[in-house]
Amino acid sequence: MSESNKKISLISSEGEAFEVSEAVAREFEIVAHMLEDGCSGSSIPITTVDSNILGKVIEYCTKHVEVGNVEGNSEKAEKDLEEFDKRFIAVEMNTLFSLILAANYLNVKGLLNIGCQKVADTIKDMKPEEVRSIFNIENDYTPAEEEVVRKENEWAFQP
Amino acid sequence: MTSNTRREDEQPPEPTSLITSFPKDAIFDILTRLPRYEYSTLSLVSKQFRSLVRSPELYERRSLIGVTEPFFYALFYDSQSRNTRWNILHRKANGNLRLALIHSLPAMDDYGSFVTHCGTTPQHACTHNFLAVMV
Repeated sequence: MSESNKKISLISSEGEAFEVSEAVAREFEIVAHMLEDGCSGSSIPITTVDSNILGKVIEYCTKHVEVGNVEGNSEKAEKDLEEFDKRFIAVEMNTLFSLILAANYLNVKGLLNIGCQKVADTIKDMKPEEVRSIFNIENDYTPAEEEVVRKENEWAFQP
Repeated sequence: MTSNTRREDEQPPEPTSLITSFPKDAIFDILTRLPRYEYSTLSLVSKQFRSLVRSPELYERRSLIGVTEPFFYALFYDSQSRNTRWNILHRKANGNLRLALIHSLPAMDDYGSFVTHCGTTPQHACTHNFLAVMV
């Protein structure tokens, strides 16, 4: 039996099993390392990622493996993949953060890349209040402290 | 004394955003994708963000991945009042460049050898160019 037909079960934090091909599982660098280190078990617990997010990460990796397997990767395939990435990452903030945390933990570089870029694009050109509101961050400055920081950075806020 | 009045703005606290519990690696990954002028805005968001954008580690990372940004400073010296004023060349949101006065940099007594410094400050991984102008 060829290696590529081997199936691996990834177990979410809730204990749900997701059966994927070894090629897809290897997109998780953390899993690839486990396999190289001789971990031959066919079931790998991903205890810090819940089913919802693990399902999404698998969807991302599956698509990228499929496109990567196409012979003579065409420009069109790359464009499709870009479109897929764009749609894939257009999620609400908490899902986006969960995806980044999962991609960071599982070491899925492409997903980490588009996730971090999405957050950076969201922050860009926002006012501090808008950044606080979109990320639900509490303003822990006293008015006096805020004034000091504002003064330090005044040059950047001049119209 | 009891009060039944309930302030209308009182709402159950929302859960804190996941971004505040991000590992440093992921936060820095996001911050290195932003132009440095955005850091001024971010430092006002919260104390955690201010400490992140001031962290030398962030500038080391920018240097490592090759996303340093040159900054240009100009020192204006008024020979009558003997006042010095630091300015920074800053790109506005509309793309135009202008010199913006930096109030927070300490005043200088003289326009001595300090302003002749020109080059890279590796700890901040960016080129700081200085120009002294007498007016």
